[in-house]
Amino acid sequence: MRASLGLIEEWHEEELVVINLGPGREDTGNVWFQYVMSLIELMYPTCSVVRDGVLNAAHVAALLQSVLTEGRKVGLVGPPFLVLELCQWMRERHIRLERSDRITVITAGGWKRHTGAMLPRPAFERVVGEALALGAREQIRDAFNQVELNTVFMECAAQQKLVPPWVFAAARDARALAVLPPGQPGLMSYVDASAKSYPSFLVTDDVGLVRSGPCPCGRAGTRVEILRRLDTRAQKGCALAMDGHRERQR
Amino acid sequence: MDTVNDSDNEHNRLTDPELVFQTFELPAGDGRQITVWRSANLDRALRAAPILIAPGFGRRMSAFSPLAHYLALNGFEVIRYDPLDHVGSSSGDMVDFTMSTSLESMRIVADWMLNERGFDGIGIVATSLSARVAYRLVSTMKRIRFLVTAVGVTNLRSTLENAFGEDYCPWALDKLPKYVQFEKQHQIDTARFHQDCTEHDWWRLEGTVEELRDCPVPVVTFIGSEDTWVRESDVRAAFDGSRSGSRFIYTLAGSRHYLGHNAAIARQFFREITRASIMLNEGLSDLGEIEREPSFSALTQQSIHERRLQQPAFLTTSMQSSP
Repeated sequence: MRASLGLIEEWHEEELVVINLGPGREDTGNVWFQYVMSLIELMYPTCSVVRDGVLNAAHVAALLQSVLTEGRKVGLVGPPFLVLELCQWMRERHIRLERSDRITVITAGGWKRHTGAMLPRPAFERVVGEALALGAREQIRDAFNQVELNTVFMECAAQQKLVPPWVFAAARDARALAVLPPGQPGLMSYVDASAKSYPSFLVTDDVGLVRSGPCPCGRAGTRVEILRRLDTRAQKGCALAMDGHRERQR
Repeated sequence: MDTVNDSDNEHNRLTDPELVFQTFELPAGDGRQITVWRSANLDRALRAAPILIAPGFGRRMSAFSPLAHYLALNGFEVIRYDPLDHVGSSSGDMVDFTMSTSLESMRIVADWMLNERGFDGIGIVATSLSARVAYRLVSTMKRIRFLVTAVGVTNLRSTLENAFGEDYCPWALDKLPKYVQFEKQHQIDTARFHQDCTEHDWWRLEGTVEELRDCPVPVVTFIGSEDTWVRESDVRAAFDGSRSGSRFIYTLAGSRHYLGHNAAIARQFFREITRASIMLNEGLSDLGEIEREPSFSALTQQSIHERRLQQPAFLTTSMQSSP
């Protein structure tokens, strides 16, 4: 987790406050991403702001400003539909944050049941950038993770999801499962050597591609891009589970 | 006279059910207080010497939650504290930090353990800069049964030069920068720190050598093989010069000065410190065997709980006002 977050910035533990647009560890059951959030809380002070299934946008906006005013940096972490919900609420009320160059928005989990509200990445970045008064595109990063993987793929400054050296990633032909050349879309598959609970060899139902060669951020190594999910099975995932959790709480 | 925190029961509620977790406030003079945490597994017989964990420079005692958990599950009563004029829950701010105040904090807590809680003897575990403080304490205070250090500073001048990229020791007080910044977050009053080091002989390696030379307390130290702030030759000089008390030097392979940089090394650190504490407590000739290792889930739960106890006040207030 520390290595993944290091792709964004090497924050000091006294420097950053994480605002988790999700429930706290004790209220989340088995939602995998909230487990990831608890690992982040081991490193940085963290406020989980979804209570009883409700995101209180007014409270989060006030908290954001309060942390920024204290001179701390903010990591605003959540599924994109909740980030959007917060930003739309702030935009409608013309709330302007000060010192927002200290914010990094980290999305994770996709849109799931909220595909009707889904925005393409450029539009999402525009809405979020305007609402939070972000000055740079690189203040918005996406993270990819799934429960079968032990590793989070975080975006670097070039918004590329870097694969750490202990994970092998490949896109595969959907019928023969043969590994496809870099840049060619296929079923994403992984071997995660850091998983100890089971042998983490998996072919997912995500369609994506793998890139190799130097990253624009200057790092070397494999990057992945997830394009969409197959529609053949019941939709799963953390954003969906968190959304379901909210619905059940309401 | 200590004060047990009123919210003690609340603290117990969220922690590992096997462990007792308590907070205390110790008076430190001038109306100041030192916050102390106690962890113990009371379902088993406790080992003879409780352990005092001194946090490294710029680290809160909550950062040592996993180590306290390891030691407590293996039979030690564990006491942690945040020093005065340091980060954490005790009085004062980091900007006023001095080595002598750090020593005074450690002495107050050790004295409380021995004289208020009534232990016959105690062990101390100290890392980084607090190790240098602990070397002085064990050389002057009776009834300390053993000391375990990791990435422990023996040559303060050399370590600070490596950390800050400048040897401030020979500088005149009026030429010093007003502040130096540690880990881009903590400002230290340079003149105050410098003056204390000079007046109380903290700079010199020879000072550590002299303090350990006739100290009868057995000491184990762990060197980080990749530690660029503490030179192995300085540690060996301090230990090899001892004429009294057992000295043991081990190496944490792959470890930098910051032990939390790598999870595997951090785990090795927790294990090895526990083994060394068992060895010295039981009078063994080599590192002891760990009886129990806490699960990752238990460590996470406990660590998060403790971190929340030390959250910045403005966050706590904000969360409490949340509907």
